[in-house]
Amino acid sequence: MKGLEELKKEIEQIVSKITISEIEQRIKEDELVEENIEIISNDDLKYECIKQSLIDLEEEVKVWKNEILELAA
Amino acid sequence: MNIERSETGYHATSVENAKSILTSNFEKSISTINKKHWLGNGVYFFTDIAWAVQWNINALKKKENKDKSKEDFTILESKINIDSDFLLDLSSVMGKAILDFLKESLIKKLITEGRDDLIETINNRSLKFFMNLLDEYGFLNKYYIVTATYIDKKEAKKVHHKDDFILRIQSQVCVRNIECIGETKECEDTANIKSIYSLLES
Repeated sequence: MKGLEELKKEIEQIVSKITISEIEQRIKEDELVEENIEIISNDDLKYECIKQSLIDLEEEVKVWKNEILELAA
Repeated sequence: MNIERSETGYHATSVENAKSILTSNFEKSISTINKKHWLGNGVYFFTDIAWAVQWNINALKKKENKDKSKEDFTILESKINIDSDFLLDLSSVMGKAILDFLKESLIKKLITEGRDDLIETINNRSLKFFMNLLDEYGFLNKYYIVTATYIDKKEAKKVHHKDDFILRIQSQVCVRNIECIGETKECEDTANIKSIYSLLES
């Protein structure tokens, strides 16, 4: 697997080959594209999963608390 | 290829296409000027069956499918073999760094060429713009699989629990090297598919 530095060099080579008119043409084509996508990083996903688990756990605790209070009454 | 792990992928398609895939294997979807594929050329899978069902629901709404019904669409289930040396995950730190560097390099070029007027336009380009550029210049050829976890804001509106971030997240896998696709069969969990259909259509 190539490292990031090697990949960056490869990208630099690609960009050096692209002409401004090609960029303009690609922009023109891209303007017809309807995209609503937002990439979620793996770290954000982990954070959201943990957050969701805590919310679920909190709900469960509420239920247990009510059950205990009912039993105690 | 050194298979490190396997994942199940769900490919939504017409029954007709499914039959052809099951007899003669998948064919890569190739981008054209009118139809660009957002993760580049390859075979696309969802990692969650619910989004594959949603894909079929959307397909049914298209003009060309106006005479078709739910029964004309199906979901194939494939085993996807992954070797991390040939995987590009756009949600990983590396994936983000690649896309950010491409954008930065294009902006640098615009500045050097005195075309600062295009900088904002480049900043607002779709992911497809950058991915297709990388694909057409051969950068993606070294990867067998390209994947991304994302939110499709348009699709997210259809999810009932709007506050539930997790439910709105999708993950897609684009298999560029068909040899990574292991056993493929028609998804047999029809009861689950039916319940997802009714949930998404209600």
